[in-house]
Amino acid sequence: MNIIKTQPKSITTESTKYCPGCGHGIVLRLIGEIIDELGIREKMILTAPVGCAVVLYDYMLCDVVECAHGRAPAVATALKRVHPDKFILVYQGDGDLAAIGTAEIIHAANRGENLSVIFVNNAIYGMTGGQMAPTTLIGQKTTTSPSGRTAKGMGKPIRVCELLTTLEETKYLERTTVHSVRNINKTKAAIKKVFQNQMNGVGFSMVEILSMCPVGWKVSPTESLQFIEEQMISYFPPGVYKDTD
Amino acid sequence: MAENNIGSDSKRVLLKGNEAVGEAAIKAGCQCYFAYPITPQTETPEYLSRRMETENRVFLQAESEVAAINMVFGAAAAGARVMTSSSSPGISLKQEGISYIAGAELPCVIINVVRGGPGLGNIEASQADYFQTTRGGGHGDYRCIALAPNSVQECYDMTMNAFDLADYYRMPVFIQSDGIIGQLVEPFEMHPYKPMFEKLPPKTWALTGCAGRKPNVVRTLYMTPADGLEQLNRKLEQKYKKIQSELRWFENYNCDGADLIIIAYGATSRIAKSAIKKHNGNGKKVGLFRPRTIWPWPDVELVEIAKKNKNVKFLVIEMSMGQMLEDVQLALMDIVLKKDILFYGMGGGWNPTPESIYDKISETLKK
Amino acid sequence: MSDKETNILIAGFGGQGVILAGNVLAYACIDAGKNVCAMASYGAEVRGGTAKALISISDEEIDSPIITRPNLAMIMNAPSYIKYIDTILPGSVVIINSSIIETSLTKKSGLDIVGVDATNLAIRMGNIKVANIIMLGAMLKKTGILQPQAVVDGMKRAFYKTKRGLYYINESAFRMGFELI
Repeated sequence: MNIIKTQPKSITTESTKYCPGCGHGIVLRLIGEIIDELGIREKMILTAPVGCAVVLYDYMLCDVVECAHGRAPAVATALKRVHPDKFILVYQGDGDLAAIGTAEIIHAANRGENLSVIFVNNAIYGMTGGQMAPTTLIGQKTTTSPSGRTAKGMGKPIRVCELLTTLEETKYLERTTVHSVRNINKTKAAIKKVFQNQMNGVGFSMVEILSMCPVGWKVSPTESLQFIEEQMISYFPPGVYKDTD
Repeated sequence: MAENNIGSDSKRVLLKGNEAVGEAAIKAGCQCYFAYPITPQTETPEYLSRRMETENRVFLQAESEVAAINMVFGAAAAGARVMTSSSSPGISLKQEGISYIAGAELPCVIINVVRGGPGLGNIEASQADYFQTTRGGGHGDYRCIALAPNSVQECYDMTMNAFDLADYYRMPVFIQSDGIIGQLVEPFEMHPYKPMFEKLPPKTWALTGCAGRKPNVVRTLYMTPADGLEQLNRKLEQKYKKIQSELRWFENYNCDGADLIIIAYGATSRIAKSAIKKHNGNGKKVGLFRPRTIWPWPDVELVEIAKKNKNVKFLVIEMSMGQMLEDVQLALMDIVLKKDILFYGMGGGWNPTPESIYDKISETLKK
Repeated sequence: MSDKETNILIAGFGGQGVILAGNVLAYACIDAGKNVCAMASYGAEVRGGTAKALISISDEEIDSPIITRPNLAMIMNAPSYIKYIDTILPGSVVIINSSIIETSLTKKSGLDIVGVDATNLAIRMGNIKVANIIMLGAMLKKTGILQPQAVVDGMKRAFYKTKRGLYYINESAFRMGFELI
């Protein structure tokens, strides 16, 4: 009997605290597989965000620093400056990266820090129970936009890939989703590219991953897949936004 | 004036307080420095932008005070000696990060060249950040060691000490300077790095990649009681008690047998000393008690002096409306009546003058 | 504040080299083995605003860095003269830049006011910026607070490494001011 897939060695056996149907677990698995494939577990330092992925240190078998809300790009900047030979992984959600930490991500990108950023966009604040995020879609109902988000007074959702494209020191920007097997495979390739860019000294590279939050969206896991397919990807189109390689 | 002294072996070197802080960091092996411009501390980033480059170390002007302190957090977690500097409004912005650094028990050095507040206040010297610095400052139950220099020499020496104390106790250490001490130009001895401790604990907790060891985690989140937040806070409490018993720095000028003891730190202590030397006291003796650490506060030493001097009065002088005054009252509460602890303060970012303190001494001695 | 301290006020408008003159004096004190403590005004950056430097020189320990009553002054423009003249202790020497401060202003009794045509002399030397050092030369000759060689050495420290060309013209300016009195 051949083993085709097994638990990545860089992932712990701890069961995650992610809700059923959540996309974070898929992303975690992909990261684990790539770390194993690239053999970088022992030379990496991971920055954990505030949000649903806050306890990443329980799931990953590598050095981890848990950052203040939104500040991971600043923390990672210093980690990379102190240890230029180590692999620094920045993992952030949309509240973390696109709201409270907007300045930190923009300036880390603008300085062209040689970092790999995984940005999980699920259009909601998941951990605090489904409040409106900077990426919440127009019309989307949340606990703090009960009548649905309106452009007037709340603004339109922020497209982070497009925003960062204008900064000349960013090297690789791609948006993917994890709502289907085909797209999960694409996401894995994108994450790998973003990792290899840092290892090759290319510079600031980020993958934005559209991800399901059925609990926050108050839909079933199946419906959450449809939400990405039918609502999110028309506003947040997947694709490579920048590849200077 | 910085360049003219670089590489100088002269025993007497001329620098601003803010520049001496920078040079001390270089000598103490500070590997990373992150900051944001704000008056009256900007000479430190300007000085270090040149020196760190020459030394091939990390200098980064951050996009904000918030980013700067989080870079400090990252560099400290990575095991580097790291420093930031700012002035009052900037230090307020850094408080979130300082709380995380204290909670994660990471070593770092923070320079606060205090200016007038609240709000934007002004850019003159002030001591109104005393509460913020000595009581923790950010959220949660923590303390920071705070050294209070009153000369360029002490800016230099104490900054070196701060790196050692931070590494020894694994915590943030403040240099609490002010707009006068930071801007002051005077000669000082630019001696080589003098380590305070024979040996510092190895940074086994630092994030360096987990090759050959279990992964290290630097965190401040402890979600369940079993997870250990209570234990962390008890551990911190023990550490702070230990520091209180080991680190109480002060200067005693003329206090033995004094009828009046002025208590002042930083720039104010020098202005007071000038007034004391000029005042003949009309047959009465005036002394100066100067805390050189404002946390921990040298309370044991003040109590000893108070017990020896019968009928002594105390005059607390601060560039604030009375913050250190509370520590003096706490220290003396069992042995001195509150009415014998007097206060003279200025709140608007103005400083007392030798003449105004002279008059205050005369007035107090008459009572 | 000690009676043995020389507390010097240097004032003028930004760009006249007020801070630089203070730094040269401070460097000179190092070479002369004296204690010195200097505070310059700092603030919101406005070119052309007023600038002030206060320098205490003593053989003893200097305590207060705050000087409220200077006992020696070098004043380079009229606004500074009006602003600070009443703070100077009676009997003190005050060197003024008579090129741009009207003499009608300077009839102040109780002070030993010495006019130096500093700006005009500096223009004639080819660099208006050395007016401060000409006045410094005159102040040193008038008061003898430091040996001239110490000030020349101080200027060496202030200029030699970074702006050598400026060292030579400033040395000439200092000697010219010194010879004026």
